[in-house]
Amino acid sequence: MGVKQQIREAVELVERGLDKNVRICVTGLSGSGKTAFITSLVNQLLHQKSSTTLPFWLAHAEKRVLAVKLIPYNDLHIPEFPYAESLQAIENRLWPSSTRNISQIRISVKYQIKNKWIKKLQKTSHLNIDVIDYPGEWLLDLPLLNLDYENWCLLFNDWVSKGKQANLSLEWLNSFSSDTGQISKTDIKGLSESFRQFLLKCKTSEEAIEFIQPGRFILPGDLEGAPVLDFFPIPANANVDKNGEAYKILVQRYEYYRDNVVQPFFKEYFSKVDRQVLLVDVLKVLNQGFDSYKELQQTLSKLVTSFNYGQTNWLKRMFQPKINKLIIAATKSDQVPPEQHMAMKSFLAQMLMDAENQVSYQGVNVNTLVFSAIQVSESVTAEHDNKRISCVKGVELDNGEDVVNYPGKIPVEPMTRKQWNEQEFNFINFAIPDLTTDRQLPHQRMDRLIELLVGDKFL
Amino acid sequence: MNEKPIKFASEQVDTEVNKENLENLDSLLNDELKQLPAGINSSKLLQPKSKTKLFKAFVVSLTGLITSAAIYEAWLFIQQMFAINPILGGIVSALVGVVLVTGIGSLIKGRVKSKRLSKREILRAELKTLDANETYGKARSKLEDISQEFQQEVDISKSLAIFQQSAQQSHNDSELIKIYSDQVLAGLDKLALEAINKHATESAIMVALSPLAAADMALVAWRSSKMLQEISRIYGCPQTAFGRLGLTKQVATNLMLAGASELIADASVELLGKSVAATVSTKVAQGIGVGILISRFGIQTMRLCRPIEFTEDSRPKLGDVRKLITTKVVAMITTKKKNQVLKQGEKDD
Repeated sequence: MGVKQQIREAVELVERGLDKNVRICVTGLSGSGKTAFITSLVNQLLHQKSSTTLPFWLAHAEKRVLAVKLIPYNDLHIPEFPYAESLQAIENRLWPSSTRNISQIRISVKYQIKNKWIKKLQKTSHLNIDVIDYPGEWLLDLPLLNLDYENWCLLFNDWVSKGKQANLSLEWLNSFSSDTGQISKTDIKGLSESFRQFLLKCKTSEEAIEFIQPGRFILPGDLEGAPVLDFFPIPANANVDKNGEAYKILVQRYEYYRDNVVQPFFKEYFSKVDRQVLLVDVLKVLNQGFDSYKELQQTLSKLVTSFNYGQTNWLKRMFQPKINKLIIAATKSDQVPPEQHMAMKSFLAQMLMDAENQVSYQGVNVNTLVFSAIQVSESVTAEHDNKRISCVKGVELDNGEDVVNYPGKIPVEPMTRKQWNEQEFNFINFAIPDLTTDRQLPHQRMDRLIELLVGDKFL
Repeated sequence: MNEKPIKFASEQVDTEVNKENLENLDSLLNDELKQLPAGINSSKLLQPKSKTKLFKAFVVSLTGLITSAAIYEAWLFIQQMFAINPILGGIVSALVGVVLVTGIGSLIKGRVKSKRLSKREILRAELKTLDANETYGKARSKLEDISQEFQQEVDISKSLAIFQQSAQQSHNDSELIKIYSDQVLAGLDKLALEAINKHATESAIMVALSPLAAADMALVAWRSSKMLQEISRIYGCPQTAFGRLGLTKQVATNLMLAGASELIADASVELLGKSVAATVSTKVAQGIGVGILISRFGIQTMRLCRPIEFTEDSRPKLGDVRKLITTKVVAMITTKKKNQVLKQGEKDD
């Protein structure tokens, strides 16, 4: 039996080798720049021929990349990544619309083989790169897999009673207390909706609460309006008969959500992934302060544990983890003067040290990087109080004005709470300038990202 | 921590596009150095003071003596010429003047270029720290200076243009250095390797054919000196005859100090080359041995002249050169033998 399995695995390995496919999953919390990243990635690859700004993509620097094109992919049930629409948006000087659902795109790269042994067999080969985009919020549902409805309610009530979410939850909790009697079957729809409103409020409020379960309540994808999302945890103050019909429906829907939405998602997308990209918007937390920083840090640590499935045996058997590389990348580096990129990188590394440790311990290769998928600003030096300071110049997104911005100095060392309060930051979101999409988009370090992601695949 | 953010309206403030020398970013410790004990890699044995003060004084006074004697002689000579005929005197003094000006001029010029080699070592160390610390805005001006030095000797306009296109404002020093090494220096490395190949095969063939051991030695000295000159010119630091001597000494010391692993690898390559060649003839084996020695010399010279250290990938490999030498020499000798056989056959006919 053991030998048989080994042979089967070996055959599979050879096939994978011949298959020349690499599956890359891109995730990140909403607003971290996933769509812009994938659009830019596809754009850089498609325009590689005339490109001079990809010196760190080695196969390209060696002039071994012959041609790149988009090809149809096999997983027909996944929607296609809206590349053309995104480009069109950029042409109209708008940021492409954000990721609300899972999507996929496949790029095929034809290249010359460098390896002197393989070269004897064939001169050229191709590599199919599958890029899969999904909301990072969905990953936060991983703990649900181990919870039944009752325990989930307990955990949720614990979460609601603490921190900033306690204030925001009042309205939702009130909708229960006004309902003095038993929760009946007909109330479920309305209460679910107010539960969802509460979660959305957590996400969009100034408190920027990131750790929100269940993830699909915020980004439902194609489940919008489906009855599976019509459930809610029973708050401590509510009075529910555990043998009643309403309770049974809630349990049933929760279990359906867990078994038919969350589990297949993890099973399907994590069983086949080779490389994972996690995009992080560190500038947002720098703008918002210490509490947001802590919140993001904790959320990302939890999120990263879902890449770290090797822990328990049953999970291992189920998902057969194959991620061998995790790239944690801070996006929007064009909002920061280039001399601070190094500080930005160390800030990212410090923030995610714990998460990185967990993943690297499992034998996954972790890299951190600071990049900008679409560079929309210019780095300039300005004179202020007889001092030369390096700033970024661009069009402010909110009001469309031309500005030169010095965003504050990102510290190299970790900051204390006091320092966080004293230090001010003002990173500005820039609008897209007038760009042509017939040539490659301006970027910062996309070439390094490409090299990290797939560089080793160009034999 | 009191650097407040500032936002200007675009018209209010004069800006210039960033190029270089921005405010210094706090220099960060290299990651490797952060590991304790930090001092472990930083101790270094100083060079012994080879020349004593007495010796230096001797050299200075000797030079002074010879120069004053030469000036005195020249003065007397000019006077004598004037005594014979003023026109003759005028011509001679003009000649002396021209000799002095051109001589000193070319000496200084050669010295300046020659001096670059010793600066290269410092430069290499500086660029290495910039590379390790990922600072911003310090490397660009240095790389521009290096490019200027190169441009006096080699035409690198095309690769330089490619470098300038690929180097973005956002690149930090480490990235710039890497791009420069890949785009500009790689071309020079190729030129240098070609020169090494040419000289090594030439001398290998010469040694294989020459009948005298003494002639072999002279050949090796001559060819290797020629090669050193060419390589140093390729890297923009051409050496004067005097400087070449110093360079040779440096290269030889470096060869001796080369890491054991490298030596073993090189030695096995040599053995391999010889064993292939020894089946043809001992003289050929000697030739190949000399060829490999010269290419080792050449590669070591490249290392000394290159402003940016080789990485593991870009390091020139002795194996490539060895193969070429062996095939060339063996091919030449066998065709020669074949020709001899043919000629003999013709005679027999």
